[in-house]
Amino acid sequence: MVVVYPMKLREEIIPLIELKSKEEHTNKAIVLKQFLYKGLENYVIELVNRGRLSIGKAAEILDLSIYDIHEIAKSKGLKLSATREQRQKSKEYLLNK
Amino acid sequence: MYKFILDADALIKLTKSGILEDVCHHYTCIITTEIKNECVDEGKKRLYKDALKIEEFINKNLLKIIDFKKARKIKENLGKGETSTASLYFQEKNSIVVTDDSAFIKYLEENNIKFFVPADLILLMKISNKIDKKTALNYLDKMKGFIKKEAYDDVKKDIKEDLKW
Repeated sequence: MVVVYPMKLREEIIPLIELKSKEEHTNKAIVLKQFLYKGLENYVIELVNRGRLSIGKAAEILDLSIYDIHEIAKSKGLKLSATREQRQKSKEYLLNK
Repeated sequence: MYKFILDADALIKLTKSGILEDVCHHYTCIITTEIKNECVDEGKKRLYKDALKIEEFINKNLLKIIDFKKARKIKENLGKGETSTASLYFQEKNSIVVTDDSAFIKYLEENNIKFFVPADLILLMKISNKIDKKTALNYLDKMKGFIKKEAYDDVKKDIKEDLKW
């Protein structure tokens, strides 16, 4: 579903939006969406890294695959996995079979 | 014999490490249709080679697809794959969830659901004498790029120490 959301932008950033739209032969709305999406991507990956969002949910929100999420995390130097404490719990389960 | 229900993250990490086939040969490994969609269908669309490997294991019936009958209402911060995995857990008796997803593990801990992280399947295979130390360390090294350093170091130490039951 698409939602229309009004927002105010500082006048100073408009020339940059125009520049990018000219360079990439696209319209200004798409350029704005690209910037928004990039910021969203960073935020979502950070939430996954902090254990607040699952990898599957992140993939759904960003319309990407699980593989893509790992690739993005890798490019940011992040490894999306269990914490040390969670791994210890896993080991306890394993040893107390 | 262990019965594992794997989520997408665990499945991908086990495939990358190269141990998935060995694990599937020794234990019952189950995934849901949602996990198959995430790992195989979406992966193939984006040309990830691991998606083809996982598909091969499904076709060889090493990885079994079982669907849950009753969907559980699970937390909003989890995706369809994790939700289906948890729903299947409640249906499949004596199963263990395999995941490396911190948010999903929090949910499992809150609900006292037993879980293993994928790296511990390497340790399990080593403790059970299904693979030797060298092979275990080799598998773990291939997983290194996808797990946090402290978890990697801990599992490596456990493999080297010859832990026993």
